[in-house]
Amino acid sequence: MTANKTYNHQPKLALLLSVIPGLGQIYNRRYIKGSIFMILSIAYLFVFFDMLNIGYWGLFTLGEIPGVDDSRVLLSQGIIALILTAFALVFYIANLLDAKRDAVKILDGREKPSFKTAILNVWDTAFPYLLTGPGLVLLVFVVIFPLLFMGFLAFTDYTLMNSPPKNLLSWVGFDNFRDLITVPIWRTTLFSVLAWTLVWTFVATTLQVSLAMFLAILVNDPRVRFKKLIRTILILPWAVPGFVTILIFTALFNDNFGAINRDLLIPLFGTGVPWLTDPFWARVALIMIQTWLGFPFVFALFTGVLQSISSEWYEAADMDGASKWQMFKYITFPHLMFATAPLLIMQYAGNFNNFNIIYLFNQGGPAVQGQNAGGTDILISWVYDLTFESNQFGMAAAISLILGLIVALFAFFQFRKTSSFKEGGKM
Amino acid sequence: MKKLLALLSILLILLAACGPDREVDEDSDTSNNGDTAADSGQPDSLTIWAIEEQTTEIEEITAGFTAETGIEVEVVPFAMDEQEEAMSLDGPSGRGPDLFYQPGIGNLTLKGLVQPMNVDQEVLDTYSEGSVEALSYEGTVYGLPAVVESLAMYYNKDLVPEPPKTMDELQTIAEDLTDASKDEYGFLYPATDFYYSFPFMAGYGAEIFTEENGIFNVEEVGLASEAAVKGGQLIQSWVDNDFIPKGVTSDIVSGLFNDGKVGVVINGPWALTDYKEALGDSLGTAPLPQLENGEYPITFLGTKGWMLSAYTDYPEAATDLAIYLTNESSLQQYFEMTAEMPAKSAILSSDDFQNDELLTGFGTQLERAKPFPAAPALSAVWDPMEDALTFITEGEDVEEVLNDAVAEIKQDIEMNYK
Repeated sequence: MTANKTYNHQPKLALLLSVIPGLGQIYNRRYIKGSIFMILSIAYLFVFFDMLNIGYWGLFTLGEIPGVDDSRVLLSQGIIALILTAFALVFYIANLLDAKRDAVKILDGREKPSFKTAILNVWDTAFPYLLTGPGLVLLVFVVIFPLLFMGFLAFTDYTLMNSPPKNLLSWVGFDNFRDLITVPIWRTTLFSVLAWTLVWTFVATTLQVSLAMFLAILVNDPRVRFKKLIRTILILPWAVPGFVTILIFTALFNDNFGAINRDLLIPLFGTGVPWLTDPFWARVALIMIQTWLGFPFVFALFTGVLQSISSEWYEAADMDGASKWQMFKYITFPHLMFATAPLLIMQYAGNFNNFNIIYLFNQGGPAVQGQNAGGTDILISWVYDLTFESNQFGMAAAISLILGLIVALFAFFQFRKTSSFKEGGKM
Repeated sequence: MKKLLALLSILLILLAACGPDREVDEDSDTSNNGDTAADSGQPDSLTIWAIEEQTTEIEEITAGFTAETGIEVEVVPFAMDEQEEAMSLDGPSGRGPDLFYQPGIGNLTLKGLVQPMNVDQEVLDTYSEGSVEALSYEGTVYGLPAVVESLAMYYNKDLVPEPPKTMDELQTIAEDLTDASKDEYGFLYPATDFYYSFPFMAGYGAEIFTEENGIFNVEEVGLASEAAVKGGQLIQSWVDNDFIPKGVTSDIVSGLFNDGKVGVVINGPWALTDYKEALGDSLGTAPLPQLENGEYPITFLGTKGWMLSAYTDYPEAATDLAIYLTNESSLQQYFEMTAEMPAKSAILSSDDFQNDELLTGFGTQLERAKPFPAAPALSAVWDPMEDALTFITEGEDVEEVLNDAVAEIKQDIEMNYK
């Protein structure tokens, strides 16, 4: 046995030696693995040293010579350098842990596995990583990279008047965020748009859910005939592509030529409503359109859940003398909510960022004095305008970060609080 | 675990330390500088970005340049509105063109995409009025114009035998011919579009931004001045008298004109083929009629031309190419192939041009047109003015409406263009 040899084997030493990848493994007498690690590390440094060098320099300074250094390119290189470093760190830590683990194994007196067993072990453990690897790399470069780029932009002063390649960007820290809250025009706009976004989210979603619930319960009543036909018709607003619906509604709501004013309101009331030119009425119109577009999905959802409530509940309640309203409040409503809570939360989050309807209807709505955004702009459509029309990239990025934070926090807290996640099957 | 953290933090510090390492960069920088300084040699070939629809025509013209100078010209098709974005990335990396085609100076100098062109004054004088200005910024020329466009008046000879020369004549025509119930109108144009309505304000003397020697002062927005108000009131009078219905769009205007129901419309050269097909010989063009103060409405002069890239290795050869592409024979050739009006006074005032019934209106109006103000802040003007014009056509007080619009424009400029 190698018992006497292993008393001198120290896992801590293996760990320290692994600062240079491969040395620790060699100390553990895993020569092939050690050399592979060493070769890989040296190759990595060779190939990526330039990129890392320029990347980190670019990230810290964003260029020094205007016209020659392009801050955007340097920023991208910096982010790539960060990503590469992250990958390297993962490998590095794996290497450290591996050396320590192997050293502990030797200390315990286990035999060093043969080369063939080692390969089989690696194949077994690494197989899932091999399969997800390419996907992960793609994800990192296609999703994480642009997100990081935008995130970093929020801390620069990139606007139309200060744009590469002629000018250099510079890090301005939290100035953009501070401006959002202190400069009067930005602050007014931010709070006004935020207020409308919250009102929009809450009212539109609640309305569409309530309408869906009402209709679902109505149609589910045993006395209603042609249920299938009615349900099919009620699903139609969801079936027609949203774009088409919204554009047609815009035409219908047109102040001068739209059917709603021309054929309905003026004959009935003598005067039309300024749907597209007055912020208040534009908002009302939008909420109505969203209710139309959003209720079928929730309707279908609720119909499914309603059919799963066994009629014994209602019979028992009826025998106890409960009124229809009490039955709804204590049986139907809790059943519906419990089963669909996560999906309803998604509806709220979806409406918070419902860019399509706002933009297609009136491109953010009639202009409003005193603020930078339109009358019906929600946060995301305001960011769109800031990016493509005003070229205020720094501010747009800052607002996007705030937006992302709000949605993430909201979703997080709601999911935590909803009982359906804490205790499954309480009903 | 603590040791691990200690190791990691040491590594991070090391990374930060090797970050600001300028040596590698210095080498590449000096080599870049070296390149731009040594452009004295003649190039083998030049690259230009031309719009996709006209690549073949441009290639024919550049063949002449190659024959003369021996320099090959590579014509790359590139959509006009994508060129600016692409230039800002391709230019610095060396993959950009030597010349590219843009409709005006716009934001090009702000982004550093163009460099000043060195052209003799006598060459510059051959271009039509205002066209070189459109491609200049603060007095420096950055490009040479190729084609120009402006609004002009189209009229239906069956309904209006002689084109109106003054506003009064236009008024009479409108009174005689307008019968809204039959969808017949004497005079129609999309009144709420600032591009179409501003010429009337400008004719009374209104300016969007006050200008001095090519430098525009964006602090002073002249769209609520007395002159602008007068222009607005003129437009309002047309709507009040029911000559122009509310909510009319350019589609409606063209549709009715093609049906032969309108006497006079205002539109640009892009509508020429369409109208000619619909009205045939009954179509005529004329410059916009004279206002009662003796001045003519000043339409916007749209110019498209060849801009000199800031990243070209051969600015002199590229300038020569630009001069060649925009000389009289090239533009004449181009005009015959594409029907786009050339930016050359000689051609515009030539007999052929003036005597052609369909071109004479444009030929004259082009010399009375003024280019867009070369200030990025111009983008802030369009939307508020469209709203203002909508309110004007709905009968609101012109001065109030214009004052509101100017306040909005100034606010937008304050936020985004300072």
